[in-house]
Amino acid sequence: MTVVETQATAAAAVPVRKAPRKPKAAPGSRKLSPLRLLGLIVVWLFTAFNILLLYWLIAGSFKVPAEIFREPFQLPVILFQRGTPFANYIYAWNNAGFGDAFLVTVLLVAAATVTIVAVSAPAAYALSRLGVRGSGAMTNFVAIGMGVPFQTVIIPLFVSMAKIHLTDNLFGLYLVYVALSLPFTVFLLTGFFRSLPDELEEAAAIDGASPVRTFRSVMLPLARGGLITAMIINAIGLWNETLLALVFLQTNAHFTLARALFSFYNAAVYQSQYGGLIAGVAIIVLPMLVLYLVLARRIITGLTLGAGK
Amino acid sequence: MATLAPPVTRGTTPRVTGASGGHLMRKKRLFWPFVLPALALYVIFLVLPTVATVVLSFTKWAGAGDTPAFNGFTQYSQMWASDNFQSAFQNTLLLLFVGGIGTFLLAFLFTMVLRDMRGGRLVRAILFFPNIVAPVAIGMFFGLMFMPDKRGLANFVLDKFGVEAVPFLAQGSIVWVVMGAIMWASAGFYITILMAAVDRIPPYLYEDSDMAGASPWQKFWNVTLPMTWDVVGIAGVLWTINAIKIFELVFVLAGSGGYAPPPFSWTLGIYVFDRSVGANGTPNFGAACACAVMMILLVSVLVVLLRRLMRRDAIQF
Amino acid sequence: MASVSFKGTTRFYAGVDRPAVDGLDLEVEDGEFLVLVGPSGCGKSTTLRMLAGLEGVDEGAVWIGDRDVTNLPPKNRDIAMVFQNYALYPHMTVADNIGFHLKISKVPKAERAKRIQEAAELLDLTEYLDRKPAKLSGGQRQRVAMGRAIVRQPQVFLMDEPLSNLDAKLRVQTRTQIASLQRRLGITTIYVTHDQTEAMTMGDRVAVLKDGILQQCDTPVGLFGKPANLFVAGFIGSPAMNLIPSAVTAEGVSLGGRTIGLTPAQREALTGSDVVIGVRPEGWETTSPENGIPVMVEVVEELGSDQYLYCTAQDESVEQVAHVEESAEEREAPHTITVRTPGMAPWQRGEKLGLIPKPGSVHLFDAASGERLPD
Ligand SMILES: Nc1ncnc2c1ncn2[C@@H]1O[C@H](COP(=O)(O)OP(=O)(O)OP(=O)(O)O)[C@@H](O)[C@H]1O
Ligand SMILES: [Mg+2]
Repeated sequence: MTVVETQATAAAAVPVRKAPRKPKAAPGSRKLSPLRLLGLIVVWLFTAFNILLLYWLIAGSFKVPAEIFREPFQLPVILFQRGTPFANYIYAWNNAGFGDAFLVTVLLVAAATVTIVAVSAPAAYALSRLGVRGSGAMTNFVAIGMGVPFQTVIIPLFVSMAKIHLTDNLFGLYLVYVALSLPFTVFLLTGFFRSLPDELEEAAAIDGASPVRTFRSVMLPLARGGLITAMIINAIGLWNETLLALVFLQTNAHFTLARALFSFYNAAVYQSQYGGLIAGVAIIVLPMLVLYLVLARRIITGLTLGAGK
Repeated sequence: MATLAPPVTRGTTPRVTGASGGHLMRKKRLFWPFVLPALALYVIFLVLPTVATVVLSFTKWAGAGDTPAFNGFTQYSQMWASDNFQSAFQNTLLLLFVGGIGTFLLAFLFTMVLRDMRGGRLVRAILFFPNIVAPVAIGMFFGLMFMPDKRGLANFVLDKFGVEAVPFLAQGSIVWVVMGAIMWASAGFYITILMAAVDRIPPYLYEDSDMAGASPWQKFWNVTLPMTWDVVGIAGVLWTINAIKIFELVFVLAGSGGYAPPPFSWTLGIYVFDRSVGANGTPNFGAACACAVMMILLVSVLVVLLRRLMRRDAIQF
Repeated sequence: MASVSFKGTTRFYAGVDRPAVDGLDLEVEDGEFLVLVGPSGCGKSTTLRMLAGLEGVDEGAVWIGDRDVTNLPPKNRDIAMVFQNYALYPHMTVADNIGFHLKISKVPKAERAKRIQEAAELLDLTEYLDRKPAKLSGGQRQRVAMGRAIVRQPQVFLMDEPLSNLDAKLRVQTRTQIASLQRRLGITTIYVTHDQTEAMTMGDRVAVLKDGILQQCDTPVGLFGKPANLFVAGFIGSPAMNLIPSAVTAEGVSLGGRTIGLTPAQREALTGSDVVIGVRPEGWETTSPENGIPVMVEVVEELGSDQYLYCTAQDESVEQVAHVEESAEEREAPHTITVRTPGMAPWQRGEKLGLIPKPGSVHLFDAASGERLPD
């Protein structure tokens, strides 16, 4: 009996250990050398600047010009007092053509993105996995296209496309977008296909699946992550594309968002429509921001994969 | 005898036998159908126009309505003699080298801090953010921010401190504003690429250098940089490619108010655009093509040089 | 040269409530070779890393010599560490790897070259000095890592499972090399392993850790001869000690019909009414089934010099306890009694025999607390 009792008291005497909320860091690791301090300051300044910018953009899109310039960091007031908080957006959407441009851009980017991947995926698969001699050289030949500035091709393209009435034409721009996005996409996807394991493909071959079937039902599903990444990256790039839209589109009705913003800048400054201008910027930036918030990891890894390999 | 005959198909295909060989042959037949659409688009829209541009750069061609006439290197010599081209060329080189070195120094500084920073993931995501914003929008923002009077954010802040308004967008200073904007807009991308490589460095190497007593700088110089050398090289190539074609950000920033920007702020990209659409006078397709060829030459030379300079034995770990 | 002491050293990891190392009290003498051993995840690496300064110390202190180094950064502790995966810099040659720490601490070039050369000669690495680590064999890489530690001429060597990436044969070879090198240099060394054979063959003393708590620290002989508790008894020695539970009666404890008397001190130390009797495989004498604990041979393992008999008890009361979850031998044969006999003995599978514990080879443990009863 006594034995049991001593055991019980002993157990009670042991204090309940509570882990510290934050274990101690390794000694010296939190010491700030001048370089590290400088780095930390720059990192935080940079981060703060980005956040401030985003705030300025969103707040500004609800302000009147006087507020934008005189109270850049305050919260918007006047439009809310007037009961028309979305006045800038309404102006940009209806009067500055961003509404139409939004629709055009969504359709154009969606169509182009899907086509790019639909054309690039088989090519990347063939170049990376069929073991045909000369694939490597051909991959390089396509990849070099990434280094060609678009400025190089606009004159011949514009002149020849004008002959067949594909300028100032969304289908024409769609073709140009698809073609000029191929080098990067093919390059990205060859890297991706190359990293897939051989076994499943071999297993499908042993099961007697035809090569096309193997590609469709084995490789494509495996590469889905890569394909989606390629789509997202292209979508962001094309959504923001300006130079080609500027060259190839002349009629307001065909304008993409970036192109519309470009033209509207002129008018907005002239009419002091800065609120509408910032709302226009918000209309082009915010969808990408939402996409980014949802898919940040995928976008970042995709872009760095394309770059890092 | 028949077995000894060389394969009838392309001599380059490796000889194959057996059932899996048959499959391999069938697979290889996919090659052209799969590659051709992409290849055709690529050649038609990128390769042939590039060749055409090179050819056209040796012609005198005002633009639509005119016909190209061969005139040798006249376009090039005229171009080199023009002030606009010279300032465009200078600005581009300045952005390329000074901006490049600045961006990479910044990125390196960040890698030293971000590797073991609390909340580093979030900070990285925020740093990357400018890369998803349209360059037009970025140019516009910086244009508004650096407006010469105190409506601009920069002068607004300076005014609060009692400093006279600075004409940021005037000749001489605008290049630096542009450079700052470009560095800000692109740093996140290069930081992200480099950090992805830094994250692959095994942590015990840093632990060992901690034990050796290495300072952050020594760790960077002895571990981080050599271990990420290849990625730094690739990032350098990407920077070169991207910096040379910079266009809309500068165009909008410098031409604040939506007008064509003043020639002293031009880059090669703007020069080509200007000569193509005639925003600043009449178009001159020949000159635009010559400048575009210069851009390609610049990219090629720099990329080859960079690859040469950065070459070294691959490290295995 | 210096001694090392842990004083109530405790380490928590973020988000884990149980400490990875809990109130460790351990003294390592100057020039001693101390081995830290224990199952995976018991906190060996954590202990070493606290000493190295790579982990913070949440409670308690760490001393090297007469300095409290608890809050000193690693570089000021005058220690060198060999990592499990060697942590060689892939972009540096062997010479640069060995000399890296000297370069960082700004040792002049000539001096550095001399010390690298000396270390290379000592470790038989002279012909590889210009190679990169990727072009070395596992054993050579291990020696480079050793070289990097040696050139620093530190007060304390730390080694975290430095042999675990080598194949079995090389491991045995290298283990003697390391031990003799340490004796020659006379530098205090703390060596981590999860292999009890390595621990027993290399260490001046061996510290056994379990769940972050020090179980026993003693010489290999002491550890083997007088395990302090059931865990150590089961962990040290291969094949493991046979542990057989038994109830305490007025006469003592009974083992297969025989009675082992308990001293008054032993009775005093008991916290319950059960004990566990431990007998090592070599602690049995074989006899006829009538005279000892009757068992039947299930498996005969012939090693040439020795023979191991894995037997099942014929008597229900003689049931092995499964004490150490981690030990592989235990999992294979949870309820057998292991007996070591001279090699080439004519034992056959299915044969019946009796077992008697040799005098002085019986270990008694309190079943409730797991502690060893005083002898
Ligand atoms: N960074 C960490 N964060 C959280 N828990 C950790 C961390 N490192 C180790 N641990 C935990 O602490 C305990 C001790 O880990 P430690 O690495 O010291 O074990 P070990 O004895 O070296 O094991 P092994 O023989 O497998 O190397 C383990 O339970 C482990 O899961
Ligand atoms: Mg460990």
